Amino acid sequence: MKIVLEELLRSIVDQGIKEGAEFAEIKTQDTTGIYVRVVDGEIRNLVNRGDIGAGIRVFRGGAWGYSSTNNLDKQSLLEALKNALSLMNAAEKNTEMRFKLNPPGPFTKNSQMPVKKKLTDVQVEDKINYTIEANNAAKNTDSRIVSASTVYADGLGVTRVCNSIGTYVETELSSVTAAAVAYAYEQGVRSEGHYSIGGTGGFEHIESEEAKNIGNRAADKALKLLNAKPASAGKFRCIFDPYLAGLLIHEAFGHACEADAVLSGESVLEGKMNKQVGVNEINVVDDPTIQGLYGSYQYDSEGTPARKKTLVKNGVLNEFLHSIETSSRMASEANGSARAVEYRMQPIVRMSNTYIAPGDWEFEEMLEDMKDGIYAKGLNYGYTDPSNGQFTFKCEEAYIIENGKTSTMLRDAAFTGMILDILNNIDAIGKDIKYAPGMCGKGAQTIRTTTGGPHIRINDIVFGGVV
Amino acid sequence: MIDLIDLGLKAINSLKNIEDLQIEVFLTDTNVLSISMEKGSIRSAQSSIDSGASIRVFWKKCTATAYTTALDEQNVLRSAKNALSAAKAGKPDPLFTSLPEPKSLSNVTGIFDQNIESLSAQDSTSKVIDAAKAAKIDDRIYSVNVFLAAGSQRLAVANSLGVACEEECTLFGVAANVVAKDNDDMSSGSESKVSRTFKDVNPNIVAEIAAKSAIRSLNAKRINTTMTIPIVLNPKAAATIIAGGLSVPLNADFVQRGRSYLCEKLGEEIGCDKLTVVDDGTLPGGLLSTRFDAEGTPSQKTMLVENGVLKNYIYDSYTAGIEKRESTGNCLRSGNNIGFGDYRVSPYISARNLVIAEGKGSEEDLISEVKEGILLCDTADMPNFSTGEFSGLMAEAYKIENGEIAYPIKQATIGINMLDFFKGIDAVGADRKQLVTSGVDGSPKSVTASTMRIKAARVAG
Repeated sequence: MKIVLEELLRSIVDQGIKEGAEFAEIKTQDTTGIYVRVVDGEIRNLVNRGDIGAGIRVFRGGAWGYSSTNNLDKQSLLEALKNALSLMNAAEKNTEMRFKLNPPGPFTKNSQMPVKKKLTDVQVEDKINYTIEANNAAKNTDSRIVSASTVYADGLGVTRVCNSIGTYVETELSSVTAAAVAYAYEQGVRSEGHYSIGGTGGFEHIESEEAKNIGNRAADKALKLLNAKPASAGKFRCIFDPYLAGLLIHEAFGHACEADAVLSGESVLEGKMNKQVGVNEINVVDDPTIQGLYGSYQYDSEGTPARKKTLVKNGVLNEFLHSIETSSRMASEANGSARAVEYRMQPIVRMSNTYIAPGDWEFEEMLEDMKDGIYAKGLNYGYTDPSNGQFTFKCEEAYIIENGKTSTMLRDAAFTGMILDILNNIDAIGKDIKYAPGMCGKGAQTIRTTTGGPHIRINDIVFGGVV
Repeated sequence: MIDLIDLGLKAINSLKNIEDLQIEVFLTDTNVLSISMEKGSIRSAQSSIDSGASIRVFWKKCTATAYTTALDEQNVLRSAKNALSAAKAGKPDPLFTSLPEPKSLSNVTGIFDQNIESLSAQDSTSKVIDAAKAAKIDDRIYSVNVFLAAGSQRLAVANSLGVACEEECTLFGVAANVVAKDNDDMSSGSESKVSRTFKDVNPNIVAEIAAKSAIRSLNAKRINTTMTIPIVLNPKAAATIIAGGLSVPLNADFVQRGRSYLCEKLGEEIGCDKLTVVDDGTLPGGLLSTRFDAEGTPSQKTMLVENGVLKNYIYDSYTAGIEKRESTGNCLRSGNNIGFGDYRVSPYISARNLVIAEGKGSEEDLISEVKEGILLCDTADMPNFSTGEFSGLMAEAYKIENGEIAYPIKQATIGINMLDFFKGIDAVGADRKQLVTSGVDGSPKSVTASTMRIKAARVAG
C-alpha cells in the first residue's frame, strides 16, 4: 500500500513537470483527532476529527498554481494537478518578478515524532475524564469560581510531501494540548484566569503534574485577579516574566525575521542582515528540533529538514526564516521554516519554538536594581505589523515596582514597542528559561508554536492602562 | 452536483431506529479561488474545493460530533455511526433540551451573485494588477501587496426533528497592504472590502485607500505623554471595538455562566442615547446573512442596544432551552472565510451582522469640534470580556489639534472601560460602511458602523 501511494504521488509530480511546470510538489494529509470541551461539568463538545486530502503546487517562471482536493484517488489527483497547472499558467502570464527555484535535497525519510504513550492506546473515556476532572478541580478551588471551561485536543496521523527533485518525506504526527479558563466573581468584580499546556508526543503530556493541575492553576489566577486594580497608563521600565518574554520575542522580532515579509517589502528588518539590532547580550533562537515542545517538527511542509536557527547572535541580525522560494530568491539556504496547517493551504514561512537565550541575571537582582516600574506576568495575546515596526502584547497580571519590591497588583493590559528599538532597550537577561505553547495566526493559517525565554528587563515600554 | 439535503436525510435515516436520539447534519460544498500579489508582482493563484459533512448527535442527552472530508454516502453514514458511538462514551448533559423544530423561513436577498461564481483566474489576476497600479499614488509607495478571493458555497442543515434547509451564497473580497518609505522611515496602510456581490467591491479603491493610509502615516511621532483626551474613531476602529465589546459579552452562554461584564444589565442603561445596535441575520446582502443559522433556526433581527439601553442577549437552541425561550438564530459555524459555513468548526454563538445606527456629520465634522484629541483608524485589540476593560495599541492613529489632523502617532496605547466607552459617545457620524473586523480572537465579524467620537479615553505613548 505504502509503495503504491509513493508511486502514485511520484507519478503526479512527474506529470506536472511533463506538462510544463519547473517544479511540482504534492502533499497529502491523513489525520484524526479528538476534541473535548467541558463547560461547568458538562461535555459540550466531543468531536471526532478526520481530515483526508491533498494539495498540489506547481511553479513556473516566478508564479505558483495551487489546488487541493479531498480525495486521494488517481483521477482526483490528476484533476487537481490540471487545475493547478491552469492556475499557474494564468499567474505566470502576469508575473513581473521572474526567478528560478533552487530547492535543496532530495530528502527521503520516514520521520516519527518521539511518543512515550501513544494517543491510540488511550480510551476516549480517559480523555473525557481528564477534561471533566480538570474542570471540576477549577470549580472546586473556591466558591468564588463561578464558571470554568476545559479543553482537551489531540491530533495524529501521517503527512507526506513529494516533489519533482525527488524528495519523499513521510511524517508521523502526534501532538496534544489542554487548556483551562476559570471565571471568578466577588462583590461586583469579575475576573478570568487561563492555563494551558501542550506538546508534540503522546498522552504523557497529560499525565504530568502540570497537566493535572491546569484547572486549579487557572482558578488561582482568576482569584488573584479579583484583587487587582485597573492598570495605569504610561511609559515604564519593565520586567517581563519568561512567558511574556517569549511572547514579546515572537511578536516583536520573530515575525519580522520571516523572509516572505522581507521579500514583500513588509519587514523593517530588510537590509539589516549582519547589522547590530540589539545589545551584545541578546541571542534569539528559533528551534523546531527541541524534543516534545508544541512547535516542534523534524521536516517542514516542503520536506526540508528542520534545524536550529540563530536569528540574532550577540545582538547582530544573523539569519532569516526561509522556505524554498525565499531562500532561492535571497541566495540563501532553505532552513526548514515553511509550514502549512493543512493540505488545503500553501506552505508559508513560520516560526516554530522561538526563544530568547538565557543570560546571567537573577530575577531578584533585576528587581532590587529598580526604583520604580512594572513587573508583568503571563501571556494573553499579541500581534505585530512588521511593515511599520509596531508590536503589542497583553499580559495577564502586572505589579507596580516600588523601591526594588513589587506592590499593587494590576489587571491585564497591553504593552507596545517598536521592533527596531526593542532589543536595544533590553538591559538585563535572566538565567531562568521557560516555554509556553501557543497558536500563531498568519494569512488565515493558525499553527502550533512555542514561545520562551528568561526574565528580561526593558526600558521605554508603553503600558496601556485605563487610569 | 451532490444533493446535500438528500445526503443529510440518509444519515439521519440510518440511525432512525435508535431510541432517544436527536441527530443533526451540517453539510457544505465550497469553492474558493484566490490570487495573491507580492510587491506588485503576481505570486500565486489557488483554488480550493472543499466539501464535507459534520454529524452532531444527542443520544440520551450525551453529545458527540464527527465530520468527514468526503461527501459521499458511505463516509457520511460512517461518520454518523462514529458520532453515535462517541456519544455513548460521554455523559448526559441535563441542560440540553432539544435541537430546533422546523419553522418557516423568510427570504433573504442579495447573498448570491452569479458574477462571482463565474469569475475566471485570468479576470481575477487582471483585477489584482489594476489594483496595484491604482495604489501607486506617490513616489514613496514602496510595496503593494494585494489579495483577492472569490468563492461560492452550498450549505445545508437537516435534523431528525424535520429541519431540512439549504442555501447558496457567494463572497468576493479584496485586501491590500501597502508600504511607504521616506528615507529611513517606513509605514503601512491596510484596507479590505468583502461583499456577497461582485459590483460592491472595487479593488482599485481598496488599494488606493491602503496607499493613502500608508502615505499619511509616514514620519509618525511619539506623543511622549499620558493624558485623557477625546477620541474620534473611524468606522473601522469603531466597528472593531464595539463588536469586541458586544459579540461575546452578549452571548447567552457567557451571560448565563456569570462570565460577562454585561451580566445582569438587561434593561439597564449601558450607553448614551446615541448608541443603538441591532443584530440582523436577515440584512440584505449581509456578510453573515442566510435564511437560517447553523442549527436551522430562522435568522432574525434582534435589538441589542436601543438608545443606550441593553435590550437582548443572543441565543442558540441550547442556551434558549435553559431559559425556556426561543433561539435568536445566532448559532454559527464559520471558518476562515466570513460568511461561509465550515463543517470542521463546532457550533458557537455569535452576532450575525451588527448594525450601529448612524447620526449626523462627516469625519471632518467630528474632528473639527475637537481642540486636542486622537483620530483612531485601526486597532486589532479586544476588551477583557469579564471586566469590560479595553487596553490596546493604536495601530494607526493621528493627533488632532485645534480641529484638524496634526500628525501621525506611533507606539501609543488607548485604555478605557467599555461601559465608559458606550456612555462617553458624544457624536455619531452619517458615513456608515459595512465592514469586516478581524480581531485577535480569529473570528471575523460583520459590522456596519460610522465615524464616532467619545468624550475621553486614557492615552499613553
